[in-house]
Amino acid sequence: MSASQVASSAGFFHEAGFYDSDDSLLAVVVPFIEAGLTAGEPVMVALGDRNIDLVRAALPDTAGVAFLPHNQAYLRPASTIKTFLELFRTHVEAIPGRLRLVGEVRDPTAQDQAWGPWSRYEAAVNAIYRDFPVSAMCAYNTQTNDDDALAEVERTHPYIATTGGGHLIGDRYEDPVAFLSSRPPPVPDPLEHGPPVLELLDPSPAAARQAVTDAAVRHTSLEHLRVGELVCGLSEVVTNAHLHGRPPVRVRGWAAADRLIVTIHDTGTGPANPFAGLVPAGSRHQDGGLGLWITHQMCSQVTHARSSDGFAIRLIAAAPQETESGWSPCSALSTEPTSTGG
Amino acid sequence: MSGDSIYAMRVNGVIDSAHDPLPHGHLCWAYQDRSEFRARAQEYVASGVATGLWVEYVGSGSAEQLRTELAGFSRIRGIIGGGGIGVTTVDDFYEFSGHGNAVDPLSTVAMRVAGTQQVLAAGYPGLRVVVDVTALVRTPEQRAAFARWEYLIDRTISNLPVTALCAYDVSELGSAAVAELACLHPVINAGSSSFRLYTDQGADLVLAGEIDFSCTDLFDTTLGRTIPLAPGPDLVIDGRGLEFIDHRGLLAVERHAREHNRNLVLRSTSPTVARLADLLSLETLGVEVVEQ
Repeated sequence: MSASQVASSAGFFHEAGFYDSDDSLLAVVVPFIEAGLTAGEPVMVALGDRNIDLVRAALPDTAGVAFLPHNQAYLRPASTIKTFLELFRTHVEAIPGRLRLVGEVRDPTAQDQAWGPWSRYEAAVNAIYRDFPVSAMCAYNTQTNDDDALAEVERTHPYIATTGGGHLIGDRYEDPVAFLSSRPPPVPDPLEHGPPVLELLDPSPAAARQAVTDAAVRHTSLEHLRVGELVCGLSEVVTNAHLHGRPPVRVRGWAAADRLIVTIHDTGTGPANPFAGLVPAGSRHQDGGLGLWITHQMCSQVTHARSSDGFAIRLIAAAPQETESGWSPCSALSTEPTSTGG
Repeated sequence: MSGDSIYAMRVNGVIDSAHDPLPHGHLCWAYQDRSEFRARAQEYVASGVATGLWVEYVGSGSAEQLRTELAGFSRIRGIIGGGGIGVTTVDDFYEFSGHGNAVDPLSTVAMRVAGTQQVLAAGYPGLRVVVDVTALVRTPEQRAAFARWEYLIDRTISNLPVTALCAYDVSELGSAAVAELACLHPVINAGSSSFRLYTDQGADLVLAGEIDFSCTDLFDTTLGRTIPLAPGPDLVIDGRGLEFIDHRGLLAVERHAREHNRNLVLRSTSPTVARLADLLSLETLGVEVVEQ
């Protein structure tokens, strides 16, 4: 979908807001918020923690604005999509008009999240959120994000915010499917350069679960829940590899005290759907649709890689991590927006 | 076992070795050849007699053939213990429905309970049954009926001083057919089923082992045979021994709960299972995380 097609739709409006200082952050974000309040739209802000405080202090009146904790809103891409889709659907059913959202996928004060999965997120949501009446600004700090990441931000956002509430058409924007198929393979974790602590050929899911659990206990100090989540995802991926992939299926693992990395490789081409795992495929009653989505929900980090010799999924379990506690922003929609219009 | 347990759990688990002593409980033994069965059978008969139980040796031969087999069990000669041994053919030990030589679960339960009362009335502290049921589970229809019988009798004997060894000939039946029945026993030998579904006081159903894609269909079939027979409408499943269950397993439980108007709670020691259930937004099934 080209940028001009997006402009004429009543659906998802997706712009990047670049900033390099507190002042320039406020210069793009505050007018965007105020335009929403003027139009009577509910406004949700999910910036990094320090930035939320800045914005809250800069707004003359925060009635009608809901501030969402960053570590819950942006736990991991598939969780974020699930959370926001529930929010958007609740909004559409409850009130007419649009919803306004200011987000920041990586908190600039806590640079521990890998960019790759979020790059995929930003591309995919152009399609996944397309039909919802939502205007979203994604804030990006040009000091803390490297040039490669910032270039990908331009390629995944149809619009670029200007100070004072305006926007330019992003002329580097690419169709999400084209963007995703052109991305380089994920950067290996440093551990992957060393010898694996486990290597299995065509294991049953049960054998893979046992080997990975043993490795976690022996080599890491990850807590029980973290390991269980990775093992749950691993079981789904190995099952899928046997069902839909091409043999042999090879499972390898690396471990350090604070993280566990498992790759599952088969010689097939992987899922055809470029957004596989980010949304459930098929209905819950149809076999096979949920396994990869569950993996993406459960594991700290999931990356897909296609290569000349097949397809691999890499799972990472890492500590520390915020535990999801069934948090939902939908209750924030009950905040009455200030209705000076609309 | 925690002192906070509401009840003392029945003997349950997987027997790994051909030389582990057989525990006293409701056992399934899947055997590859008859000598393996004879070795385990005589061991179970002998320990029953030694502890003063009445032991019923049941099989598909004639009563005389069964007596001859018993006579060949060297381990029971000269056992002192005050117990006794009788033989019964399968035709006499079970009630059958009109056609196809399939066991009639409900009337067999009634008959077996009456038989147990007779043994107790005769002064024995308990009953032990050693039975080769291979001939009763050859067809799918027989297995469906026998599965219901196994679930019902397991529930009954969990309250009675009855122990049993049910033996299945894997070389004749195949491992898939044996798994249909093995999975309904609290104690099985290694490799015969990846999960077990049985009963205990304090929980209407107990689930143990691992449930993944390798046994999705069997688990679904087994739920269909047991959930309708379990008390309702609220059912508690004790899943403390459940080491793994995937989303297909949870969805299958939920589906059977809905079809039979039950509200199920699965008690698990795994916060991962609770997280998975949360993701699936299950309606007729809830998960409670408990201590071991």
